[in-house]
Amino acid sequence: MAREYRRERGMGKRYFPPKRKVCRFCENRVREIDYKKVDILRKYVPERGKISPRRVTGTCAYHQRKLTTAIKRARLLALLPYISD
Amino acid sequence: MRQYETAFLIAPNLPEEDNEKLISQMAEVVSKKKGNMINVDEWGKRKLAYPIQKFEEAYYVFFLYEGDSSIPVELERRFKQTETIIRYMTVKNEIKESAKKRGRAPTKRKRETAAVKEEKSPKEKDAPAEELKEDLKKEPKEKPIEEPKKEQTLESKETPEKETKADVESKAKFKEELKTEAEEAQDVELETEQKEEPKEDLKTEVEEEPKAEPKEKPEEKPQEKLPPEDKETKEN
Repeated sequence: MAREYRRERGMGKRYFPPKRKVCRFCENRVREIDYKKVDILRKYVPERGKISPRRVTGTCAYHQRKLTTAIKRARLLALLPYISD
Repeated sequence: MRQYETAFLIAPNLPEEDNEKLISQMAEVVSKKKGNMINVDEWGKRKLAYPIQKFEEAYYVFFLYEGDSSIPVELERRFKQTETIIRYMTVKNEIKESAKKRGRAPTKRKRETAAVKEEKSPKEKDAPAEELKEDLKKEPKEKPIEEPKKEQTLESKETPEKETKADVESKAKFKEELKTEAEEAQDVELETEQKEEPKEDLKTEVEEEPKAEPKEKPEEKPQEKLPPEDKETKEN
């Protein structure tokens, strides 16, 4: 079953382990995330307006926590959408 | 004493003179309550991400100030009374506090603050015990600069500049690197969206081979853990 599944999904290509993602905020030694810096926050809020999860962006737990509060604050001030379609 | 940042949005239909009046009125509140206005940031009119009270635009103003907790209370009371302010938010400023912590090793910091505490303890009696550490660190650096110029502080921005330089540098780097990353993120997001339809099939398969799945197909995790409906309801 497993093999069938993989062939079907992977289109017969070999499987490569995903590139390890590193937290962008840690790399840049950012401690606090400002809710006013909308350009940065936007990177973590794709079209739909949802906060992208850690497993997608590779953000570390600490910064993900800061990010979510920053994004939620920005939403309150209408800098970011709650939902957008 | 604590740093606060209050943001408020003024309705766009107000003439600019009135804007200035409003802002100066609010700034007075801070000075009356013996607060120390550090920075007033006016972004001007900006498009809103979603309509507030049927306005598509608003005039953004940010106050950064230091002082008693009664200041934000009074400010918010006034915001409620003025109808032209369509949204406001007050936040305890953590950015500055952490910026000062950043340079020092944790053990040193404790020693220093302990030492400073003993020296300045009579001054700080007003503040609650928890806030002492943070406040003490601010005082030696900021007071000498800002006290002589209390009236000018609005324009001088001396202390914020120190941060913003560092911030801007990091931001610039950050932006460059984020570009690629954002693309990745979007790609993945797209993938997850496309794969939402065959969700039920996947689930059954996942149950059959739970160990192999997470390692080999990290892209497909989204559907297992977070069905999209749940997400939406949480956020709304």
